[in-house]
Amino acid sequence: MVEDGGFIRPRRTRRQRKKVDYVEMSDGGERSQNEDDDDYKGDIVDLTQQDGSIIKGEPADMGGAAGADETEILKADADEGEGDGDEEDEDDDEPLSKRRKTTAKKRAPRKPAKKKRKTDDEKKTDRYNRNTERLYGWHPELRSVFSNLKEAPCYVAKRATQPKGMSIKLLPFQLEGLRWLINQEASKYNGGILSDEMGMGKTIQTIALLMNDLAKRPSLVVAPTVALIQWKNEIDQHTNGALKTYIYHGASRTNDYGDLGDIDVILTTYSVLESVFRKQNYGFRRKNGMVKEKSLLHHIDFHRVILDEAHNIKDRQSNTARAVNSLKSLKRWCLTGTPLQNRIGEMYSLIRFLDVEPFANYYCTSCDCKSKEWKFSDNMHCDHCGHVIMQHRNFFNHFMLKNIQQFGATGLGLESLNNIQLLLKHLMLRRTKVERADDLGLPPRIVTVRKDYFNEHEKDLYKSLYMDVRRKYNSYVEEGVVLNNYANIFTLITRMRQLADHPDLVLKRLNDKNGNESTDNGVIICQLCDDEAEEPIESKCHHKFCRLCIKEYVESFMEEEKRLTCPVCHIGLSIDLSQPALEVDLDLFKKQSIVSRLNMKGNWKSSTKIEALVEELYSLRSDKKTIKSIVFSQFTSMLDLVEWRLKRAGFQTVKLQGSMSPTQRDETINYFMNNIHCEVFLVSLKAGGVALNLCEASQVFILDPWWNPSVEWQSGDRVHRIGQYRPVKITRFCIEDSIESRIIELQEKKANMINATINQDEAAINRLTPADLQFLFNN
Amino acid sequence: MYRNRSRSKKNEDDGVKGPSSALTQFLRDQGISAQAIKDRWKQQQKGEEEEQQKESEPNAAQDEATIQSLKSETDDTEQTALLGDSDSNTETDDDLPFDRRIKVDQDSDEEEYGSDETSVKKRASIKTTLADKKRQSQVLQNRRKKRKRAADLLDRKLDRIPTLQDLCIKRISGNIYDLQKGNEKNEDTFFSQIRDVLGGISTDNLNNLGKALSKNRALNDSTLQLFLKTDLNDLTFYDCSKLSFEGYKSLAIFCPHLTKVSLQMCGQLNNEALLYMSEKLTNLSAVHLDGPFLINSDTWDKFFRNMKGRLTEFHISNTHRFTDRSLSSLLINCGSDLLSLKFSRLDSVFNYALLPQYINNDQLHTLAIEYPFNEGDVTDEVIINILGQIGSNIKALILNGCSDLTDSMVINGMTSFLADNRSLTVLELEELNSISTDSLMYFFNAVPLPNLKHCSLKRCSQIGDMAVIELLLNDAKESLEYLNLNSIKALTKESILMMSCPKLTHLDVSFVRCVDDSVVEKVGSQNPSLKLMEVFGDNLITRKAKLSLGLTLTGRESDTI
Repeated sequence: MVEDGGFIRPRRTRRQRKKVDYVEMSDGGERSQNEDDDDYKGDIVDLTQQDGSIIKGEPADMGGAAGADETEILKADADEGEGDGDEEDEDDDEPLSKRRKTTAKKRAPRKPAKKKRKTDDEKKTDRYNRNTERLYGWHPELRSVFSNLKEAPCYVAKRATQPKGMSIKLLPFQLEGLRWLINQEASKYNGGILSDEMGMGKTIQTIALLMNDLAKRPSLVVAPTVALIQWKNEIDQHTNGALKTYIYHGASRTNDYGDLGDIDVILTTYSVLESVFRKQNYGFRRKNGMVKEKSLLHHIDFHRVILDEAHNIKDRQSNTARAVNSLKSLKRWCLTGTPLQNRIGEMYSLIRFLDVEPFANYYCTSCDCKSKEWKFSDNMHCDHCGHVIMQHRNFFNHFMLKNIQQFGATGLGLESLNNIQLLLKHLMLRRTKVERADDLGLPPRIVTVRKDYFNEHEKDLYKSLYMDVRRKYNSYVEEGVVLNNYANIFTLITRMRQLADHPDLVLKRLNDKNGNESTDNGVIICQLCDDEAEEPIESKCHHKFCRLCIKEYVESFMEEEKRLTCPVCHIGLSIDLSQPALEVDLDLFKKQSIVSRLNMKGNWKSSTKIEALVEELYSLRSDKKTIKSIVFSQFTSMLDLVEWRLKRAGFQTVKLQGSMSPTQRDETINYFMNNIHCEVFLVSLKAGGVALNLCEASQVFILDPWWNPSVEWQSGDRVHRIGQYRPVKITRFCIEDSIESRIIELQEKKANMINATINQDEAAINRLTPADLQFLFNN
Repeated sequence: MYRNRSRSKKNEDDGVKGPSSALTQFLRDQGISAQAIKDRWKQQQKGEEEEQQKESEPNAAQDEATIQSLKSETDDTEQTALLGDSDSNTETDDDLPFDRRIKVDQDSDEEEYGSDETSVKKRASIKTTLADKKRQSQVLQNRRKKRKRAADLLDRKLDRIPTLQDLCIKRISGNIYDLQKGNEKNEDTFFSQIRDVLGGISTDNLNNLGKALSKNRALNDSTLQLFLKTDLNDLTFYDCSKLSFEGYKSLAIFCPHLTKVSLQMCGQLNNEALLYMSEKLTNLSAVHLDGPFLINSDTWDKFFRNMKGRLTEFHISNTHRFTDRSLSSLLINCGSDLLSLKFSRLDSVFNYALLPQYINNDQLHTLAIEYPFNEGDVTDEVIINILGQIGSNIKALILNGCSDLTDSMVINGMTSFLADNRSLTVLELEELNSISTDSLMYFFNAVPLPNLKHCSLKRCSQIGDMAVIELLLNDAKESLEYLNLNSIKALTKESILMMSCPKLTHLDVSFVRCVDDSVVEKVGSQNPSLKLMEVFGDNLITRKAKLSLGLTLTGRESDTI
């Protein structure tokens, strides 16, 4: 730790520190060993967190931006008894739920020393008040910050007029949002946080803002990679080409400012932004040593910068956050459906980006120094005023965060909480779907469970697996090693769930394990005729076809050759028709789709679940209307099987996989949305979670029950969103005489239990306790 | 440790990977691999030894290798394909010229690249190539046919040849977007032209056109023009999701004679448009709406007051803004005139007990209460009371998904109040899983249903053989046209083999596992008019099942595999 004179004591580990006789600091007169202990406990979490980020190898330490020298500070901090100069590193607060628990634990053993604890709190309060007074003393303007906020007029919902040139009609609450956006830009905040719930059209409102005054340009939109193309499409679609866009992404991005001169909106991703920033500030390695490259984006004076899914910068020490903060812009916006994911500290990062005076500033408690950056080049003294680290306080941390961390939502903590809410009232607009149900005009959503029963053959198979699994489980129980074998048991359960989907998911896999048994009947499947390929050849996007099939496909295409697309992933097709035929590569087969391992000779057996799906889809089909559906499963091989079966039955399908590139993904979605005859969209849970907008479909089929029912709810959100005019129905499949019915029962039980308690813990729903396992295996 | 292992594995798999030179990249892109070249070279060496001839024909050598490897496989599939398809023999002749052309191409290719003296062995190999090619294309053709057949099954096409008009309508609706683009300026005249071309447009055809447009998701405000300024009085749209409220308004202005409107999936129909329609369409008496979820309960109230005295048919489904208040408004204003009433999936209606108080018009012929939000709201008592008032004349009774109904409803309601009813034609009791065999047995035994045409017991999981046997002994067996026994898993062959209904055309026995080849054969022969039989999930039915003439099986696993 650093003393006033700037003398650094030899470093000690924390454990040692505990043993060392406590040296009284100038301001902590009545400090007790007990309190020290307390701080120590609190630090441990911090330490691990810091370690985590160090291991990740963030190149952060080199820069001069705020909070740069985490490692250094960490070391210095090891001696800081007071927790006084803990500005930078310790405000990485833990998740609220976690924190609450630790305090509870902490308090329990201390019950006898109740008096002492009281003084503890009092002391903290004292320290807080003392520091507040010091801050006010040097920075009198801070006194009135919150009272001013309180007096400032609050947001009143009023509608703006529909901006000219937008092809989509904004909904009433979106017009209100637009008005708020415009006003907010004109206010002293120069931006804010738009955090409407998912699916309420944050993008549309932002585009309306862009359209509102075309003279104010250019704008930069930073979005996650998956949403990038969607942004471009939506801008093109809704503005009739009034806004010129440029995607600053990929290897071919421009490096010439001139190219961007007439662009209205530049679109880029967080990772690109981070990378150009890193190259500019820290350089990158080339043959002749480190090279630094000027970042184009950081040299443009933007009119406004918009962060989509802004919780991407929630870690304010990340380089991404820094890259974003150093952009030059007049107006700044954050869009996010979940401004707070875990900790209140995440809020700071957004406020820092929005650059709200004085909340993001650092103030010295001993002089009138204030700065936005954490500038301590020698790790001890402020570059501006020369005072040491611990004399500097961050406004947000001091008035809003620390007390909540220390006291929870009581006393000073409550005050801080109110402070945060007060600020957010002026900075953030959030509407929920429930509030605006009438405006949104969403169709009703129906969730049903379709129950089916195994046929004889499947029942036999399932029973034998179940007995096997149960015997293993019971032996674990007898030995008392259930939790030690948690992973094993989980795998067993997964096998049972797969068997309920289709026996091949289990059987074909087992063969593989045993050796090469399965490979001898491996064949290459043509993805046009869904049968064993004759003279298989492969396209550039790695899809295999019969030579004749693909030849005919190519020849029968009537339009320009450029627009010819791959029949599987729908990107531009590139294939050498005269390439030598592929041969069956035994090694490769293990990695390939399960379909290639099927018995193609005509005695393949379907499963109850697959047939149930086929029946459902069949009954949706009619000559009067076209109803499209999405099929979800968490097993990709199940999706492979289903796709193959459906194609054989005459359905046109597309499939979205996690391995697809953004373009493939986009083209596949487009194909589904625009092609009338393509009725079924197969998605794996992992690939279909985010940024999917599939309004053309109105039916959702969920093939296997998930542990967490809220995931099922989210999967419904893919179709249940603005622009959906058809009634939405979600059907969950369940094999009644298998483990699936138990899973559903278990979920319902848990959901009820969790809803009943006040402390809602999302994670608990995913956890399987020994009691739950017992429930699954009990007959 | 870990690193080591992974590296060695990699080496095994596909050699060293790293940055590749431009040449390597080029070769890879062109599909040229060292292995292929080596193989070719080996092949050449072999050839040299045997015949001492030096040739460099990359294609031939390559083809030969692959063909030989493929040949055995092809033969197998070929045989099965031929067995499965009797028409294929006739097709082969047609295919010949095409293959010959290939042959010529192939030969000319050879001459370009090969030397003058082609070896005997090579000739032979070419011949096998050609034979193989032929076989291959045949196999592919068979597959294509199979797919076509599968797709037809899916579309429930029963080898009917469509009329020219149908085809035209299909074409037009399929391409209507392109047509529109070319004629943006004079849309009005363009659509009247289409109407003229279609021959003065009969009401029938307009409905067909509506169907085809809905199927193609092409029904929107501009294609709506096709239906305006006509004297239609009965209009059905199956997919209105793209019609805006403006569209509905113009419909109200330009089709003033409408008496019956059926709008399915009308998600953009709003308060204003509905009221406008109720005011402008003075003859309107039948309204079928599916998914009018934008209309709130105030509007429903106004609507029913507007329609007082003329609303005779009201079907509504899929909305969560039709509340108890709307229901009571409907019943108070129009309850006594209603002849047909259907409720399905109304998420905000709970007070179904209101129904028996107001429904006392004994002319009411259709009543459907389906999928209430809380199954408990539709109790035995409600249904018994309703049936007590209208049971004697009702023609269609649909109670799908009211799963709280029990045997008491069947015995005290249906059996006692439908006993004198000779006109019941439709009876649907889907997903009533509290109803047992005994009550249904009693009902079918006690109540003769001489006009029952359409009967569905889908997913009534408690039902066993005896109930179905009683149904098949009832008078209804002479009139039944549609019977749905989907997912009644307790059924055995005994009951299904009893089935001999002369008029039965459509039978659904999906997920009734006892159905096998012999059952299909017997049922087919006992029910002469049976055309369509749905057998999803009946895994005992194989491709060997003997089908009687005119019967189509849908959902048989082996059909598609």
